[in-house]
Amino acid sequence: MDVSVVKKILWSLSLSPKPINHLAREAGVGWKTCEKYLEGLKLCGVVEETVTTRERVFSVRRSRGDWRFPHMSRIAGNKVELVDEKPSR
Amino acid sequence: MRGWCLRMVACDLSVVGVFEFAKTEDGRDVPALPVSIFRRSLGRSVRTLAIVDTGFDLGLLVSREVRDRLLLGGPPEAHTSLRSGALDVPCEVFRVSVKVIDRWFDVEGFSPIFPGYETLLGMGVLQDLNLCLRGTSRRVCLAQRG
Repeated sequence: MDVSVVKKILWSLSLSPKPINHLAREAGVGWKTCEKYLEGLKLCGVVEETVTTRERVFSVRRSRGDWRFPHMSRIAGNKVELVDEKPSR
Repeated sequence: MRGWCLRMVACDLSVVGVFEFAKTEDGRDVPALPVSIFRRSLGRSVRTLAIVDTGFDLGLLVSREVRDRLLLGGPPEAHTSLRSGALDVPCEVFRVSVKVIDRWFDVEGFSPIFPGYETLLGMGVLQDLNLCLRGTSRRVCLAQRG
């Protein structure tokens, strides 16, 4: 298994659940290769699969207590500015 | 109630700051506080809004925009990875002081090398504050004793 492919797949899945063809495109591997990686990750309990009528959708398996990185939770119009403020010590 | 009694006592905290929830780009309301992040080698602070995230065990997560300002004071003090679900997210580590209202906290600020993250206040800081999340009125209140 190529670790960089695993990382690409997991990174993509951490953003949102995806079908195999999307993941294969993003990881830069073929559909069949991607499926093998996903089956391996599923056996390890890292990802889970949801079968719909049209496709198989994979997502990162979450357990209670996991901290989810707050993807896409950006404050609208949040300003970032440098100010002359420092601790008084 | 059997065998024990819950006694209501007067709260000795008083509200010192009330802040409206912030709106995220995807339209959700989230509790957020204004913070100033000071880096000694920079000699100045970066002021921004930080999301209150009790699910984040560390003190401070730094957005890419804040990180770019902190970087003006030199390279990060260290590099590490934060575990998020099944992922290890590589981060730069900045030693900073963060100010919430009028209190400064010495913390490590973790900046993921990937963009797209907001600045977060985690448990490392929140456990030393008295916060009241009033979700129904979309407000977060900061209280102090006395």
